[in-house]
Amino acid sequence: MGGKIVTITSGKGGVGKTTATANIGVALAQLGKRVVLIDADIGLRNLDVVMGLENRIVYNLVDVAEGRCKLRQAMIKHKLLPDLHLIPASQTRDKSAVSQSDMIQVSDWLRPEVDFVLIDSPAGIERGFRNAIAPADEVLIVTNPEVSAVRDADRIIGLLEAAGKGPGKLVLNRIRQDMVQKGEMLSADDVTDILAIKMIGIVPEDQFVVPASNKGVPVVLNEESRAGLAYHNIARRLNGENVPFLPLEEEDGFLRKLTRLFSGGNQLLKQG
Amino acid sequence: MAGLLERLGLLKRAGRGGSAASAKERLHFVLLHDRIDLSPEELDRMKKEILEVISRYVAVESDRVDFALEHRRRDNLIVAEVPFSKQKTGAGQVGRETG
Ligand SMILES: Nc1ncnc2c1ncn2[C@@H]1O[C@H](COP(=O)(O)OP(=O)(O)O)[C@@H](O)[C@H]1O
Ligand SMILES: [Mg+2]
Repeated sequence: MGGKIVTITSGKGGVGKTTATANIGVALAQLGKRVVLIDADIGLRNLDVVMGLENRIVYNLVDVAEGRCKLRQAMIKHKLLPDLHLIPASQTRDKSAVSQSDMIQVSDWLRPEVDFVLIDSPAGIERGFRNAIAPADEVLIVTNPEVSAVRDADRIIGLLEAAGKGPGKLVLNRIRQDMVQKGEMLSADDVTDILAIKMIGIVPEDQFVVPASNKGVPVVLNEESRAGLAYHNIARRLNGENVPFLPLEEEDGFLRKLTRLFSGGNQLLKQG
Repeated sequence: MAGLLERLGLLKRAGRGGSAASAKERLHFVLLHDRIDLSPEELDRMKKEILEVISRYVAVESDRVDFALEHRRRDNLIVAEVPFSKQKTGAGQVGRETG
């Protein structure tokens, strides 16, 4: 069987796909999984900077697709987690430089070597999106609790179903519980109700996310971060664990620290 | 705790009338139209054809006809309200139940 190919996509841009890919990837590696991240956003690469690996790039996905290097040569090893690799996108080429069969080929090469391949998809519904979902065994759709983002997520869910990749699972990102309680933001229940697909994670709006990407250290490595815990839980669910949603992802403080202690994922890092 | 209270419906009142409610309503509307994926012309033609069929059996009050897209639980519905005044003359064999 080999590894699982998971594509992270969205209709609307800027909803948090790249942040999710980086953090779920790191969290899976912390759980002891062998993980490869692929940046499929050709021409607008940024998974490398979010991961803090931009200064190690020699070859990229387009070089692999066009046979200029071996797959191994395009795989950048993470600084702290030796079982986590990144295949960066090209910054100078456009989406036509890679095809669906290239993506399937690369995934087939990786499958026997790893536990998870996470593909960071570009926004939109065109070629780049089709490339990114072509090899997927499972698709995560990232959205925000806003009308436009949910609408675009619905469109993507329809396209996934038509492509035989549906229905996918939802990551609801940037939720603010205080606003939900005031009735000024769609709740997780509202969004699942509207989209009628399964939720795999609820990620709060979190002040630590931007500093983390400033530093190139994914926020899941910050034990104070609630978003970090949410990504960690998504990783565990992807890994087949049954991790309850409430109240842990919405509550601050004591309970959260307690789960951290028991989940144990972050301890691995201290040793690594 | 608040999450739990909300689940029990105790905080529901606070939410009423907030912008989340309009977001939800507007999304339901927009998604119905996205999902049916028919142009306004096609929708119009569909209505006309449906009315044509109904008019074969009963006399339709065409100025009060109303078609709407609705979302109920998990279902997307085309809801037609077609008032009719009386059994159409000459439709005796098929329209026995009416009038
Ligand atoms: N949970 C979050 N809390 C706060 N900021 C976030 C969160 N998720 C994403 N962001 C920010 O939103 C912006 C867009 O995120 P990104 O992952 O690049 O989106 P995408 O890849 O979908 O375009 C970035 O500046 C990122 O730091
Ligand atoms: Mg991105």
